[in-house]
Amino acid sequence: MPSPAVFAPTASDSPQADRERGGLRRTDPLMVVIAATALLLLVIGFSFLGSLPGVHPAPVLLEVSSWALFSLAGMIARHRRPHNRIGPLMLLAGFSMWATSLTAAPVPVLVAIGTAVATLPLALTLHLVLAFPSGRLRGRLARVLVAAGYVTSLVLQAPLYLIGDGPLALTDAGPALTWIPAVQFIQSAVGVSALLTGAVLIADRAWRTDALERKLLGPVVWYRIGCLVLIAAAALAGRLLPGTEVAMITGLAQLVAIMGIPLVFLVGLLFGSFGRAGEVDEMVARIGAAGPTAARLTSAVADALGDPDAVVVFARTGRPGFVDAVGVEVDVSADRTRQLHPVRYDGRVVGGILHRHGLVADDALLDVLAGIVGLAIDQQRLVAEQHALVAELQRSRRRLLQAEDAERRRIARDLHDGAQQHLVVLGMTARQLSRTTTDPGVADTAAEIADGVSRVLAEFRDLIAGIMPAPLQDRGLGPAVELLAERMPIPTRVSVGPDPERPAADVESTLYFLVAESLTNVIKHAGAGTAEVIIRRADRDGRGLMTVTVSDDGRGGADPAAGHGLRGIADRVEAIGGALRVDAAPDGGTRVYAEVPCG
Amino acid sequence: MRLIIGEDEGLLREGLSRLLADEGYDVVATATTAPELITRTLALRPELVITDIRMPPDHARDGIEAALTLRARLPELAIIVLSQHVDSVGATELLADGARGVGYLLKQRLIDVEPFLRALPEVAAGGTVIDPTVVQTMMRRSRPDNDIDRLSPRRRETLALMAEGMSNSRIAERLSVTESAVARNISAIFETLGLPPSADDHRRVLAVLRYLDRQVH
Repeated sequence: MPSPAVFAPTASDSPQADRERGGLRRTDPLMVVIAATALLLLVIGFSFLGSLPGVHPAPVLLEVSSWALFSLAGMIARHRRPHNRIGPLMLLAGFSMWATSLTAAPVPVLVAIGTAVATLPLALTLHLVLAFPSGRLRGRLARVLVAAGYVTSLVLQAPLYLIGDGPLALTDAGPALTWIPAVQFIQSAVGVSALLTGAVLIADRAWRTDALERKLLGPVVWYRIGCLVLIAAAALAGRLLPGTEVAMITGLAQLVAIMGIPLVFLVGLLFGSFGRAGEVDEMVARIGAAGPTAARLTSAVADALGDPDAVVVFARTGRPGFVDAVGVEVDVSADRTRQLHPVRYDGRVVGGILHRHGLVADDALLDVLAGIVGLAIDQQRLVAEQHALVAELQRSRRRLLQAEDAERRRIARDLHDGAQQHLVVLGMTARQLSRTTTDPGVADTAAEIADGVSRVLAEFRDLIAGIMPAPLQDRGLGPAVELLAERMPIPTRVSVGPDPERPAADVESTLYFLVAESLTNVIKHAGAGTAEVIIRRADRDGRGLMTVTVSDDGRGGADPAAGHGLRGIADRVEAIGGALRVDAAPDGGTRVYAEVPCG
Repeated sequence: MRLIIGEDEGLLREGLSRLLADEGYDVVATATTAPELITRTLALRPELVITDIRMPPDHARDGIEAALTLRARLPELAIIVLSQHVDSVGATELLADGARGVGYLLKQRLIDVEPFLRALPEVAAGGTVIDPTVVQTMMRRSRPDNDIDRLSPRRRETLALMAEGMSNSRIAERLSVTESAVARNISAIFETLGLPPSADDHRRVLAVLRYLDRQVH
């Protein structure tokens, strides 16, 4: 038999037990009252059941054990997770189970009360199972189901004690008596439906959650579903096949499943990775430590919540929206796994904690965390805002470059496909005329026109090449740079790494212009004998990079700040998120080195 | 001579057709896309195909791809590709399998008409014609590790004219030397470039390829 002594451990050497007991005494006199009351009720109930004539001791023991289990687990949960409603709910469930034993009391009024609450434990169990782990019901359907459970167990139970000869009975009229079976049938139907819908609801939520949450909560989810299904099965069997073996077995299974609830939930609450309130202390210390950065805030909060993906977000200044520690805009609208808990400081929302709702057992814990990190978030907000602004500027700069690049390509292509083709045909026609005409004057003039068109066409090609070279558009960076090198008056070696994929258009053209400008500088200023262009793909920290090196063996001393057209190129390189460096080549010449992210 | 023109620009396609018809060629079909060019050529079996490089659908190297495809199906087909710009890579791709009857001309060359018209029968007869501008670009380019640099200027010039598809007699005429002097120079070029004796035509193509400095041996 479950020893009542468990409620008030008398002697223990373990420090854990000491702390528990100390905590009980020191912090919460209410708990002592509850414990004492529970113990007293336990003894009274036990005596009622034990005094029933011809009753077997085993079911009585089982019954009393489950009150004790629920009460004890409820008290521990209430003590260890004071803000979580699971504890009180378990206490209530234990109390309601006890109350059903009043049907065995020797006083008629108590019997009637026992009858009135006879099915209340099932409604409370449904409530408890659906509310785990936070103790709060999430979603309208869950609330409707729990309400249906209470109505079924309390209101539809009424005919049983209002009709007949009990002390609470209003009538014992014959016609009223015929109502009883019908109401009982409705009670069973509604109750079983609510239970099964609850099981489906839990399964559906678990199905739609993500892998991490499934992994952490999976076993408990199965247990909760199993409980509800078993209770429904037992109710059905009891109603449809009373007295059979099936009814007995399902009844027993139901009892065991319900008895498991306090144990499973208590273990889940205390040792599951959700709701580890104990780490709040540690987090306070970490945040209190000098200079908490935005990133450290996030990791401290994630640790305290036991949710590795929890993120601290910062409210933007002067506009709606939130950004993370590095200034990236975060979508905080609640979805199937995550929701935002706003953090206020000085009356304003300064940020929030984006967390998995399924993993946080205790909303109050979030309030505590929010209170702790409020000031720190407010302080870090400006930093995050700076990051966000820089990122936005960078993005808009990139967009400008992309727009310019696209426009250059369009113009080049238009000139290329339109005017240039016209000129070719015009020149061809003039030349043909000069070849075939018999009039020497016409022949000379036509030849002149053809020559003129040839020259215009040459200028046109140079113009187009300056806007956006055709080889770059048609064949990509490598071949285009090769062609540049072929036109160099000094030996120019080109080495292009394996490059299966072409980079983004603006990256490609930026690198091309970089090489073109650098080679122009080599010719104009370096007095070099040879030059070299190396283009490589690289990978740094998982990010794809392209590096370009243009070096010569000339006199060196090039300075991007001093013009040479490299300033504009450096701007373009920075706009695509890269960096440009001009320094001395190993053999004394100039080296232009750029690396840009790509792919 | 029966030929097909592949060119997506309407004006130029018409201009070319008219010019070639005036010159007595039989333009049996024109095509505006690379796939169309392939289909028509396979159906009509002309002796010569003249195609733009940049064509639909991809507007990139579709003409070259089409030429390579046709080449694989019809080894005797002569092909002239027209390029918008100097692109030595494109030229060598076409020549890479030691192909005969290949021309690579810049579109701007069309204005001069004469060189273009001269190239047609040469390519149709199995010759190789590379646009002089492309050749000059390569010539200006000197590479530290290239056998070509070991050739004397006169031999390099000879090689450049070979690349333009000129016969020995025309090279002799151009350089104002005797034909046997040209033949001697050419033998020396073959030797410098390490080209083994074989059918003369093939060695000429190989020399040009070596000259264009690409992956070919």
